[in-house]
Amino acid sequence: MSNLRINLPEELDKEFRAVIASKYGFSKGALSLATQDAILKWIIKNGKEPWFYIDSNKSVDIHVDQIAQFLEIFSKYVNSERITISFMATIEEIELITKIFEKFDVEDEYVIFDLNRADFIKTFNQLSNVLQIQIKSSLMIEFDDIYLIGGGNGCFNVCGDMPIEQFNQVVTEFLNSLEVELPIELNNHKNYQLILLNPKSKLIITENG
Amino acid sequence: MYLKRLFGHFSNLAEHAARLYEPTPSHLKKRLLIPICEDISKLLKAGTKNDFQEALIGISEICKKMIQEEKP
Repeated sequence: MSNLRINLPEELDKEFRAVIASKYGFSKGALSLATQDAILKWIIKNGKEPWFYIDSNKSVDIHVDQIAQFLEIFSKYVNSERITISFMATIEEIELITKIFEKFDVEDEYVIFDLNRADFIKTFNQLSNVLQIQIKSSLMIEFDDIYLIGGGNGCFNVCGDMPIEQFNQVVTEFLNSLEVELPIELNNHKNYQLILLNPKSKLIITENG
Repeated sequence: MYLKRLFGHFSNLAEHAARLYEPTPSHLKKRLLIPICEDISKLLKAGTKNDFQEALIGISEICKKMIQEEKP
């Protein structure tokens, strides 16, 4: 732990301490906890995108290199027989896909791959290598009633009725695969947020409410 | 297909709005607003009257769910 000494205007200090007391009471370490929280927010707000962010709302931001690994674990737990990958493509991209893949559909400007579970990751990796679909904001992956919608570059939202316990299993196994220590049982935390600022940093765990 | 995407992207925006650690303005623009704008453009270009109605109903449902979750 580092020690930080800063100068604050008296009024700001007073307000800061009053809010801390209303939130945490007068417990030991509350000032440090609130200061860490404020610094973390400032870091993120000022341009440092977390390397990894996952929360209990099933909102996911992961590094682009980890997307296939995440999807592999996700598909294992969702256990859907058919998986659909779709994304927007240009005419040139569709021509390229035609040369490489035999089975796919085109609807408007969207390319659609309807796959067996066994072919999912292999096809996803091929499409990532050829067309960089992992960074496309139009990427959507459908598993029966659950689907992952992309914002591009590892930003995903899980839509549909996925039980939180099932999502927590995915997150726990994904963290294990990254060799990141998870010191809590996610099912005991209703509104969690998990953040890694960089691959080697310690997991930051916060909770709403 | 664009309706499903619109609902997904709108949910993503709504979930991001509830985050304690809100990402950067650039993240919000690139990952959330631009995809929603693309979905809306598709809807405007090819949507039927029924699609427009479904779009509003779907967005309204997501909003209601988010507001419900916020209540203590």
